[in-house]
Amino acid sequence: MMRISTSMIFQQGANQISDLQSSLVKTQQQLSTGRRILTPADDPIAAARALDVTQSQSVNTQYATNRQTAVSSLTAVDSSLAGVTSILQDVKTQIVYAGNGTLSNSDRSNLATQLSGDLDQLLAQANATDGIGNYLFSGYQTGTQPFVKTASGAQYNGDQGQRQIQVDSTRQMSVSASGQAIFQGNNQDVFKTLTDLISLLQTPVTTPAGSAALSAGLTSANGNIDQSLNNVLTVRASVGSRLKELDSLNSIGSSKDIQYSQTLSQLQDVDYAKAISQLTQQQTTLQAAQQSFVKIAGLSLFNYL
Amino acid sequence: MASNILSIGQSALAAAQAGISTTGNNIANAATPGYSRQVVVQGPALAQNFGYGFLGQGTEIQTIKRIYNDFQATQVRSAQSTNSSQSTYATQIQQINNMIADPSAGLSPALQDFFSGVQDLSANPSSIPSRQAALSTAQSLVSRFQSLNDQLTQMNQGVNSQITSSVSLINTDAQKIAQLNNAITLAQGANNGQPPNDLLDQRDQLMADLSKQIQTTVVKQDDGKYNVFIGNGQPLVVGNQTYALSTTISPTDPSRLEVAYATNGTSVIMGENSLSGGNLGGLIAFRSQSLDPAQNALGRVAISLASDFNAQHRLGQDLNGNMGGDFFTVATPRVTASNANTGTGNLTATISNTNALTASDYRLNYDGTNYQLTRLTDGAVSTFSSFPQTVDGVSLNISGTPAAGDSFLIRPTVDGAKAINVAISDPALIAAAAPIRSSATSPPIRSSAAAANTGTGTIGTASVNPPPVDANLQQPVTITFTSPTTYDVSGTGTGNPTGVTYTPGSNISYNGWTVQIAGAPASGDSFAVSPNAGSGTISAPVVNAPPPANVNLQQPVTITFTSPTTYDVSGTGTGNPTGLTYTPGANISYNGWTAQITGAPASGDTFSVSSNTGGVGDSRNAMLLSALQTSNTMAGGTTNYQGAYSQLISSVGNKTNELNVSSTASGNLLNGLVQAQQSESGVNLDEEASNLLRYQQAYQAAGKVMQIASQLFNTLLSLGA
Repeated sequence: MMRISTSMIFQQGANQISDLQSSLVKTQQQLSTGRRILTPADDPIAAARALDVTQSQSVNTQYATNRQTAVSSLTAVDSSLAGVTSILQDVKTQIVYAGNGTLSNSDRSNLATQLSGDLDQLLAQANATDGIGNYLFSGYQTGTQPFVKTASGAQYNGDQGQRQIQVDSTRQMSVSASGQAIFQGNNQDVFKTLTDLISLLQTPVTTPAGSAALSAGLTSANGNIDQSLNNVLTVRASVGSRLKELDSLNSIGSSKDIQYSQTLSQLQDVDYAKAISQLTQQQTTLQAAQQSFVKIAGLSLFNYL
Repeated sequence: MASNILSIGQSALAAAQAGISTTGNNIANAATPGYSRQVVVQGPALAQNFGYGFLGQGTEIQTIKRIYNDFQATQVRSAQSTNSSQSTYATQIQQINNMIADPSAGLSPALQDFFSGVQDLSANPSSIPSRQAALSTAQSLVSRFQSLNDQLTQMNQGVNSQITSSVSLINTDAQKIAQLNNAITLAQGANNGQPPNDLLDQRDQLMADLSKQIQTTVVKQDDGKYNVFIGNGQPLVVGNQTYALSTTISPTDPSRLEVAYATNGTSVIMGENSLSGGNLGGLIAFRSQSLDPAQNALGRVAISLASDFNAQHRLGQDLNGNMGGDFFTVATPRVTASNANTGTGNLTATISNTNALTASDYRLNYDGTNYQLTRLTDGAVSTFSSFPQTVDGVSLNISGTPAAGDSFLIRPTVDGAKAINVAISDPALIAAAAPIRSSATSPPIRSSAAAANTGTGTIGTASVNPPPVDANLQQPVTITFTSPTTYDVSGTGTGNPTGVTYTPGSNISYNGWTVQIAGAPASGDSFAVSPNAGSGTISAPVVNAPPPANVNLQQPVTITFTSPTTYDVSGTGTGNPTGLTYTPGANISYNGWTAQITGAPASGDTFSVSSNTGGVGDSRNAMLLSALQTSNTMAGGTTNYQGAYSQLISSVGNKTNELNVSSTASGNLLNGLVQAQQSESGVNLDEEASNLLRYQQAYQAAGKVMQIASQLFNTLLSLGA
């Protein structure tokens, strides 16, 4: 039978109550913050892992932002090229119309005027900018106007660089195309074709030889415009497939994001059912400790002396 | 006879009185720390022989004894030292633990924001707001580094001041113990060796207090004096004398205090190993095992990040078209020579490879012949006899002449988080673009000689006539020699002339191109001008790491294919090699860049690499910069910046957790031992209450004895009356 000193009764009682109170406060903190890990010491491995997962999630979110930028750049490129397509189709219609033998020189001259309007529109599309004034088709030199009109067509002042954006951890996507490749690629300078066509239509036809030259010129122009259209459509197809890829990367990105959130939640969130039952248990224990302490401390022989 | 009874009663009365006052004293001191309950040791007085036997002469008090167990006290003191050390360590490391507890306030979010800023920049390289945002996130990253470092520095200052107060408590306790040693000997001598219980209690309580500060060993002397030793047997109290501890500024680090021990008039710094146990031991252990490593680990992340970022940044091109400079300022290693050095050696350290960098500090000792470099975290030693040396990514060099016994402390990463800063303030100076770009040009036509030719005629490169371009430019044309002096031409647009006279070297023009044939073609030889079908492409050139960039990096270089399998290179710095063999996809490196050509280039195709003038929309370098976030560039390529920081979190968390557990355990052990000690020495009030009743009754009984003795006297006196 152990001898108990009176001061120990008080000290032990106070210590136990204080310990129980601090566990109770901790559970309460977990409940009120919703976090199981209040400091790294609570679960060092999970705490470190949570930080790593947070970085992965933040990088993933950043790629989603980058994809938005890529989508808006590619959409700008696509809509500009859609404009180019419709201009070129319009030019084709006019070439066919120009081949109509009943047209007079002045009719053709009118057509030439219309076509020079088309040429200007085409130049405007080739010099299109994104929302913040960067040229779409000048390669890396987004501050340099890519095409400048010359007597025989247009001069390209950009470069062949393709601007890229990191759209996923291992995917850098080109979000621009060199204007040279689109408008002057494959030895098909659309500006020159149009300029030549305009001068052809402006030349009055007075002789059978002139008529033959007109007809040959129109055929050649028609073929050239077809090739230019092909160039544009090839680029548009590639832009379209990139937009599609971005779409699927987006859905992969969102499911990754959900995964990361779930992992984070498993790592650091409190299990409410468990925590609440723990709180109740700790409360009960604390009450019992307090009540029993008061009872024991009240027992003294001096009460009867 | 009656007087004898009276004196017996009186001795009983006195004993009961002593009992009541001792019990009263126990009750009074029930809550006094260190008080040991006292009991009256009573014995029968010497009996007197009356012939018929020995008649008891009452009682006498032999001593007032305190209930105290030396062995238990030693156990309690030892447990107390361990527990104090662990709880102090736990309390201190809890500060770091709390500092990094909030996931939104640590380094991670700032690191992530910074790289997000760089990513945003890489998506909008020419946008000044994006550039400004990247700079601002860099600013907040460096201030986060600095503020975390500040908090650690403040903890270090806190440790310094706690060491000072702990040392002064130790000295005060030691002095009091020495005084009590003296007082106890005097009291014992003056009172026939009766124990001065309260002085003894006081001294034991002081010993218990001292054990809270530092681990002690007590040797009790025959005369009752305590000799107290600390550390590796350094005496603290010997008899009436004390040996004071003091604090002194570390000879190798002015920002920290060390504990010194005075011996023979000189003070010697006590090694960290000899200061174990107690608050002091806990503080010193915290500083060397957790605080320094945390500061170093944080500094290492800062240094690696800043150096890697700078290296890549210097390979880029800013918005003004200039090569990038340093983006961050980077800390340099802190080297301190011991102030006990006698030589003139001046050690310098620079970081040469952040990938190999550790979070450790190093000590360099010179023994007169060899240098020994000790890595302090694990004690690994490298020995060498000359400089320069590179160890763990730190390059060391020495100037002057060190003397044998000289030592230096090298702390490569300690200032990393303190000194990191953003070196540029103009957003245009962020080098987001690569400094060079490539382009491919393919002439629309090419010329060739038939393989079966037997003459010596050669055809030059076909050049395209000035605009307008001929509609038949790309129609295949064949020039066939019908004799050494005449040829036929065939092909759409040429009009198919025959029997044209051959003049060597003169221009031959059809369909908007011009070519020359020279030499002596044989009859039947043929030459062709045909559309160029080259399909070669060149990749965007990459600037070779590490910086500095090659001086000719931005010089224009042209790669001209002379056949589908060979090419010439021309441009300043290339040496203009010719006839190189083309391997698709192989690296082509000149002037500090590398590019690849793939596909099937045709003769006459040219590829060029040139300065990226005006390339404001290029973000190739920004992408390389942002890729650093997830590249494993630290700890020998095993982790990235976030990973290295997570390691710090995990190690602090683990240590805190471990200390919480072990300090609770040692607290429980201490509690058990104190309880055991108290179960012997502590006051139980119920027990004292019953003793009080007992002595009260004894007092009443003794009074009764005296009353009876008095009545006996009265009986005798009344006989005579």
